[in-house]
Amino acid sequence: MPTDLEKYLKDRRKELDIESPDDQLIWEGIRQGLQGSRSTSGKRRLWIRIRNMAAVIIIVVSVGYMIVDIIGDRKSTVKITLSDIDQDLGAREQEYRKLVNNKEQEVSSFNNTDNMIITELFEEIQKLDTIYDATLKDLNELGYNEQAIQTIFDTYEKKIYLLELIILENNKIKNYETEDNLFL
Amino acid sequence: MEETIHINRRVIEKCLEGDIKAQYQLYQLYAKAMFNIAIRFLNNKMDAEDILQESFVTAFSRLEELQNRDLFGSWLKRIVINNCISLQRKRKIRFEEMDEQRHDAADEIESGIPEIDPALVHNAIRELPAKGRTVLVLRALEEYSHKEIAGMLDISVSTSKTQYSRALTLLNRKLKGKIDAD
Repeated sequence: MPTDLEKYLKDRRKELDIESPDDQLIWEGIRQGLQGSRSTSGKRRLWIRIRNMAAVIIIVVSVGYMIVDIIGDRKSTVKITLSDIDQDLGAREQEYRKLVNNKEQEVSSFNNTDNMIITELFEEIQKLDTIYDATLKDLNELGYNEQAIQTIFDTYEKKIYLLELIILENNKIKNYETEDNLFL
Repeated sequence: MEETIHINRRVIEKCLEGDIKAQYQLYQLYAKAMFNIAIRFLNNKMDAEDILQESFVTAFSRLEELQNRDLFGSWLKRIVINNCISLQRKRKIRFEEMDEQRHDAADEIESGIPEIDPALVHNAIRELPAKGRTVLVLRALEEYSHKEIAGMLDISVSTSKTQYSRALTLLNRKLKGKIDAD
């Protein structure tokens, strides 16, 4: 005899479907798959999401600058760093910088410049660098800003992630791994 | 229901002719349900999206093999479930044999089950251990028999029953905890 819970699960089965996929990206992957080209894997979708997010940040930062320009209230600025604001923030940035430098060193020895995915990942890193520079400039001109600090750390984390993807992609090429094995 | 099947049949015929609009129509009709099945199996959005994508590519590529067009939904669901099980196997999730045990739902929620928010139940299912969750989803939500589940997971019927009973008890406890906390 079914318990109340079993009855609930059966009767309200459809209401349990509360999550929605990212239709646009999945459909794009299906179309690519049907055309016989390499379909979009989870990692690639995540990267596309990062790219979209980066685009939004660029727009927000640009709009911020436009507003400051319009107001015409640019203060003469003194160059500040995160450690000038707070010692802990400075130490945290140092750690991120060290990590980025290590990974950049590893990546610089790769010789896969003709690989499409790696090239695209490098392009994304360049965009992140632009965001980083713009945010730091923002911080210098407008002073302490929690959101700008968050953006700076965000760009570090994303840069590290993208560098790791490059390393992974390079290893994959090196070891002739298949997409399936990559998940094991 | 009959109307849906009729529409499906027409859409499937168009899909077989390579009509992309029809393929997208079919995708929209089933994507959410299939995604939720996959996410309950795998408890990971990215994996579930991979499975959804892979399953639709398989379904559209092998549509000609589907004899009865009216059964597209169940056929697609089976592809999704098979892909989920296959991914779990790759992840080394093994379903060990167990003696049949009946876990009485002694601590079953006394009342108010119909009032529980489905989102709460969905999330509690996702929190279950992988093996029990798989059997529970197959039995309670997808309504496969223990014999069918045993065949799918390569386990005995008694193991399927024990895993199911344990998962149900655990789900009950989790829900009770969540209700008490509210």
